[in-house]
Amino acid sequence: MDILSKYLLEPVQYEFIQRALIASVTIGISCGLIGTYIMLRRMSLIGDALAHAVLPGVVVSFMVAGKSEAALFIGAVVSGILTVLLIGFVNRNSKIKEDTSIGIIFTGAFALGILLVSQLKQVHIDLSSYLFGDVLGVSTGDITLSMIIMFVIILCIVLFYKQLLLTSFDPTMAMTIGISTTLVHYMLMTLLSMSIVAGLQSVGVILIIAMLITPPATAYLLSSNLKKILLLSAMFGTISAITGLYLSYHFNFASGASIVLVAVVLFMLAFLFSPKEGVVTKLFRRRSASKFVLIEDVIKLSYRFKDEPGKTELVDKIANELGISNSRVEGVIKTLLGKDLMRRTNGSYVLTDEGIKYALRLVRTHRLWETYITNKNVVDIEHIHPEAEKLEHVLTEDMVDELDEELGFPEKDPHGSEIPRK
Amino acid sequence: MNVITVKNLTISYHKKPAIKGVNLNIAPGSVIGIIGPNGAGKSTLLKGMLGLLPFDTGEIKIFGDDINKSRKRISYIPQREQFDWDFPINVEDVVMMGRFAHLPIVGFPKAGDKKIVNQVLQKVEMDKYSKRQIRQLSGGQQQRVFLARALAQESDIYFLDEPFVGVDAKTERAIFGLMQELKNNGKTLLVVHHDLSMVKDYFDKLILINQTLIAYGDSEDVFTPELINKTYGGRLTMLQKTEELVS
Repeated sequence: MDILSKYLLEPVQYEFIQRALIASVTIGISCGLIGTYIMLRRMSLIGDALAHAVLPGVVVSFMVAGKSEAALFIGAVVSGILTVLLIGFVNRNSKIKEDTSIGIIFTGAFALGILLVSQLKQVHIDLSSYLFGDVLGVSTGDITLSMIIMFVIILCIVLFYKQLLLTSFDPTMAMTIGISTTLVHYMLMTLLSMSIVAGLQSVGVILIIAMLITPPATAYLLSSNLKKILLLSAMFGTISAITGLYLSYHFNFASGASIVLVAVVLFMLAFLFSPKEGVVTKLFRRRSASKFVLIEDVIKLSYRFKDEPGKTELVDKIANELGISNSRVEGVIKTLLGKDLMRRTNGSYVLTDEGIKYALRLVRTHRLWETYITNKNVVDIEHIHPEAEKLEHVLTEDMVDELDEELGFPEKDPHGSEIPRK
Repeated sequence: MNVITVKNLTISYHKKPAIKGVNLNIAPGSVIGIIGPNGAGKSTLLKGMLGLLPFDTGEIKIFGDDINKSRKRISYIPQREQFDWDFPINVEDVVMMGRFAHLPIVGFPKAGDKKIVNQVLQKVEMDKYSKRQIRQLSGGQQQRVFLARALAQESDIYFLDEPFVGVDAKTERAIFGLMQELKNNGKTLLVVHHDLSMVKDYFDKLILINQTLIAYGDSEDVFTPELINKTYGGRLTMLQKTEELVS
């Protein structure tokens, strides 16, 4: 408890930490939401470009209006939109492809920003806080601005959810029903510039792209539902920003870098352990799938060798057929006994009624599948068997019935063996 | 009245004309196949009629007026390969897109829209899969979902781009059945088709195109060796194939 309060609660008494916390939540949400669309529309390059290209706008607003949040906001959004327009203009009016024109324009704009800063003797701009972020230096004005930005972003996503969805997934259909893809694009670009402005002070221009794409990518690995991805992405953005803030406070790390590293750690965890897509999860699933296949094979073979006199002969035959050790077969049989698919009888193992039903279903699937691939001329007859073997374990009962129907309820498989009916 | 009128339509890509001087008058209530070799401008004609491409010369009228006045009455089923199948969206949500045309700019689907979505999903026998992410469907099922989306739009003209490519027998029957049903309800269907088999069974009328319009008329009248030969530019293999088919 002491440690908890020392590390987590103690800092909150400071006003600058409170401001930093609010700023973290707002950039986590703003960037996480807009970033989801940036990721789905494969626009991360333009996201990075805009982040850099707002710099000259920020500097010019300083020269004109001093440190004013409103001016900063206008300067950044205007230079962001100008950059997008310029990239599009170069793109349309030359054979230069989009990625190249993005590269040219944004580095140019960024260089212009740096040049302006170096010439600004009379006004002091802390360039490094714009480049690398300083979440602990967030002012009340910054917070007001980023809160307004967050609400505008949430509002636009809620109101124009269907336009954003349709233009992201199927722009052609969007055009046929009269939704302007260009208008939606520029709306998104404006919101993107705004979310960059919100994150500027905390994360900095160089790393803010990470806040735009890493939390959405993490969420995308965990869900295939857009609304859930939006929520998860905002959540991961917020967690990263708050954790990064604490790291920055306790260890004096650059805040942008620590926020981004937390986001990347979250991404790696999802990448490895996501229930559906995780690399490690898939490894385990493959192992349990092969165990499942083994169980089904043992059931089928127990049925085929049901007339063997004793358990040693039965286990021997099965082990031989599958090319595995006797003890492994016995292990599987033990599982089957536990599931009441097999039972012990004087000196041997036999399938229970339930087990026989299971075995017949497997045989039916196997033979129907074989018939199907022969009919479709998929492979020639001598290669069929192993192929059918592989797939019979993944076919669902519905699919098997559909196969049966499509084949016209055949009685025999290509080898002439009878196909058990349901 | 004609559903679609195309006058002297020319569309170019990079200054090279893809279709030249096409004239068409399309009456309602028929299934029309657009036939021609690769690169003949079939999809260009389709997209031109949909108002998706700028054109050099010519005029297109839908229901006698500018296409922007009848956007709600037009649906388009694109080729399957153009989608990102990993997009986080399920079957039901794809079909709901068909209702977007009828919703106000800021407006959410209502109970009535959901009912229509369920009905069309049942019609294409995909209601069982309404919550599935679209990657987890077979090619035929994917095609049926996009068919359902077009049906949910309740339009009067349907543009289909190669709907029969890579689908199973069940889906092929489903598409064919729906085309007939829509036609009988007075709808107009334009279907880009690259294969010459089944042409006479599928389509009442044919548009034969190879940059210029070769022929337009009832399938019976225009699906002749001479005209097909002319459309396909006398390619030998094609010629042999078609002669087999027409004889």
